Amino acid sequence: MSPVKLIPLLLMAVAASGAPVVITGSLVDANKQSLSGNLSVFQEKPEIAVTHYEVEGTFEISANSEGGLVLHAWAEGHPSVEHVVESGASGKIEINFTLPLGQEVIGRVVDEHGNGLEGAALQVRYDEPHKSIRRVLMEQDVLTDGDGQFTLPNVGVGKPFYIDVYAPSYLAKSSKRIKLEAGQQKVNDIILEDPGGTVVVELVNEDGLPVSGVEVLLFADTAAWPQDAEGSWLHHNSFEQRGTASEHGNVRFSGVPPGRIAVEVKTKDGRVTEELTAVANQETEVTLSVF
Amino acid sequence: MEIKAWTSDRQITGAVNVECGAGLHSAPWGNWGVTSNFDRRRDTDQFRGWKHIDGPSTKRQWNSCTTRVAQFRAPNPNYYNNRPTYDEQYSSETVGYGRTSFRTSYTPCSQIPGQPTNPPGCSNLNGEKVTIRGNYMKLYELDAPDPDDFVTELSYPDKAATLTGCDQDGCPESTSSWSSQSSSSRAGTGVRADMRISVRARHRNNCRW
Repeated sequence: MSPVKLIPLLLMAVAASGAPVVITGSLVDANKQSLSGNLSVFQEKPEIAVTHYEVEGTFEISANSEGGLVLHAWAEGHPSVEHVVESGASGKIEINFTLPLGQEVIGRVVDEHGNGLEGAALQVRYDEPHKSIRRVLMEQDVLTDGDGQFTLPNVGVGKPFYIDVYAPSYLAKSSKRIKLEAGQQKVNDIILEDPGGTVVVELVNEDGLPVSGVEVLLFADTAAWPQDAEGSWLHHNSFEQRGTASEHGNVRFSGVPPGRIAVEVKTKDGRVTEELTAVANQETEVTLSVF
Repeated sequence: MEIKAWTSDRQITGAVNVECGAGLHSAPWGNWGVTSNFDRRRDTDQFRGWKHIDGPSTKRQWNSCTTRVAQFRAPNPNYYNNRPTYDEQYSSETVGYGRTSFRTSYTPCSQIPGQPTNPPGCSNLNGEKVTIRGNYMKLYELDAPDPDDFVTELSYPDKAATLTGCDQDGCPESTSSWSSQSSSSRAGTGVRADMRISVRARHRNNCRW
């Protein structure tokens, strides 16, 4: 292994008031080699701001931690790494980022018969059990093609991850935990087989006639779900679908997780909300009066 | 909150010589990508040019060999598109080159309290200014599978947009003003573009993006 390249400390200063904090650190690859990359600092207070720095190996920045900070480090050829600075942190703190090597991953999303599913949306979620879920997202969903195939760019080698899959008419699902070896591109098929429940919402006016063209929101009643999915983007709390009432006043939702579900419609005077229970492999109907 | 970055009025008026050779590539035409504080460079028309090489469904490219090879030099209506002199290139459409999303007022999934079916949402974001500092674009002529060719780096001033019209569900897209670049690392290329940001917010009572 070659020695770590010595790069002069890059001094960066931003007017810091409120809860001033000085953050120093480094950006290295898995072999501890210095990286040229990027550091984005997200703050919410006293105003919402994102400050970007180009980093050559090391960094020192001044910031305001009044509302907490999210530091997001990334470099070409490497997936990003995130670190959260708690609200009110002060003094001088050190944060060192190690970015794994990134490579493409290919695979398929299929149904229980092995048929490829088109249009499934995928995201990579790293297994970081001691962190809350990531706050910053730079990568967009990857969609499967007509044969259910997908290519995920820039996935970290040696860093365990899951692939979260959202497909029409199926319950969202995570892959098994995956850990890439260098050079490994192919991952096992992800099989979707649980269609969940179906909910049909009917909208009527005060005369009982169908109301069309109105947006209907269906979302999980979070009070009813067990709170046992720390860090998962696929917690059932995440369920949310939108649809627009047809000319017959109906909206059909499929792939609905069984359990308590809320239906909501905006009206000119406010909102109409109805709660119901979705049941696996069954159709549940609900009628909302919207005046 | 989703922040997008846009360019318009892209121009090349100087010496750009990154696609002059023979081989696999189609000199002098080049499709350009953008590495920025918003995104990595991608083969997605990030710095859209003006010339379709392989039909209207393909990306629009730039003459990327403006002085080194005689046949591609200005003036020449085959390789430059400003009328009537045909000695510069421009592309005026507004094109997105990157986006970043992040969560504000974040509550971890496992800590969502009892009855959050009617949360406050985004109403309290009305009037909030969102500022992006340290804006830059590094422009590359894309040459995959070979290494990409660096053209220049453009720097931009801080950009800010103010959220308005927010309700429980979110805030519609707000845009900043346009700015020209404040510097170019290779000014002789004559590469210019205006940039701005847009910001929108959407309330999610859940754990998914």
